Amino acid sequence: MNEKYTIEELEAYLVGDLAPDRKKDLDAKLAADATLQEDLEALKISREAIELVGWKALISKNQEEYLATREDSKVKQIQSRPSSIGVWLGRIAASLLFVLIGSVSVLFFSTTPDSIISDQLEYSIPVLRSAESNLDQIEKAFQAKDFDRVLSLSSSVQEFDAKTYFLIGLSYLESQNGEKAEEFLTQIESKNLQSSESNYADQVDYYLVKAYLLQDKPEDAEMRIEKIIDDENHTYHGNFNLFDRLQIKILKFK
Amino acid sequence: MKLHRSLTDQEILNQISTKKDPNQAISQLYSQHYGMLEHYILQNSGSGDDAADLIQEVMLVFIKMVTEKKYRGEASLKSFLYSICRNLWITELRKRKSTAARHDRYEGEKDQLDSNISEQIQRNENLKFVMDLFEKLGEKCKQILTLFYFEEYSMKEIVEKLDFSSDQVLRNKKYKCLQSLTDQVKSSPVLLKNLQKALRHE
Repeated sequence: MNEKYTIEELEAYLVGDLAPDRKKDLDAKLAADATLQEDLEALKISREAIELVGWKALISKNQEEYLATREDSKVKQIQSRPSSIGVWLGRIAASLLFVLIGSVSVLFFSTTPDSIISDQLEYSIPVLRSAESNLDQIEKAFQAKDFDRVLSLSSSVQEFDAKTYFLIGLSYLESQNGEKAEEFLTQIESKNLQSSESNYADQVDYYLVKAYLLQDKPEDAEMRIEKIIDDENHTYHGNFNLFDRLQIKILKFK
Repeated sequence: MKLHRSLTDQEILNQISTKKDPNQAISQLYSQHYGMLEHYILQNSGSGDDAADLIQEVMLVFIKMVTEKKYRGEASLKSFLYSICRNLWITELRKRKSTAARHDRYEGEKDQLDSNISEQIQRNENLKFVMDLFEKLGEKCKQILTLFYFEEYSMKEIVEKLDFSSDQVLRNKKYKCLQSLTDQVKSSPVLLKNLQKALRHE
């Protein structure tokens, strides 16, 4: 430090607190004394640096806090946000679920007994050359699809005959009378059990499905369908599938 | 949890220049602009650590320019910070890479920048030397000088806070500490040379 000016005086000069006569004197000295200029400049930069140290501490503290908070929020985001693959899988699953719900809804509201039996096979009496001339009246009426006549003739039937009972049962089905159809068809089944025969056994299973559905008996219809599907050798095995099972379950739910 | 409304750019400048709750102002500068500044560094061959180091420098240059009234909100605070960041990063890259092509490119870019910012960056380089010297002072000296020059405590408050026996004892101690720092500044060849250059307005 120069000998004529103390650091206090130089500082007072910098902040404008130096007495006017000393200031005038110092101004004159500064113009000619490079060392004094350096002293003053060193003091000035020292004061600035001290203040900046304070700012730096404040800045460092804020930066540390900011980065820590940001890191925390990143971790939280990672924890709460599924991966992009997860997002896409979720979207696909949601879409599939939406389609599934839509399909089930359509299926639910569109499933009726008719939707299961609408394409049921029509029964055709096997035409045998030898038997052709001996067809009784019921057979003729059935072949002619005159189901009313079949039913009117059925009252005159005195004895059980599997074929006759079967044709009467089918005629009741054609007349949408499920209860009577069930009555005649199950009689064939009973007789078969008694005689250990299997007359029209597969046909009875098949047409009873319709008879039950006409009577709003989906549980009974389901049992027949299960029986047909489970028996690979059943004549009508290929006529029902899982979709029919599903439809039956929907009917039961309704 | 404390909830603050966002400060306007002008309020941030006021709080810094008057040192009235500067912490809130700096906190907001970080939350609003750190990402943008970091992005610039990352997009220009820098790393996350480079960004963290440089952004502290950006804030120091910014604070100096605000406290010295070299920036009063003429440009938006965001673009001003960006300019400081860009200028500082170019300077840093120049130090790191000295190939002629890069030098020319960055030098060319720097010419377009605000000369006030460039001057302040150069000034801050010198200040950083002095700040390092300050850190080598004794703890008591650092406390006294920081309380007086940064916190702007009165001598009486510092006497009470640091348990000095009298105002005069503190005053003597303070000038002794300051003298020690200025002596070190003058004895540093690099700093002395830079001070002389500054005095010649080079």
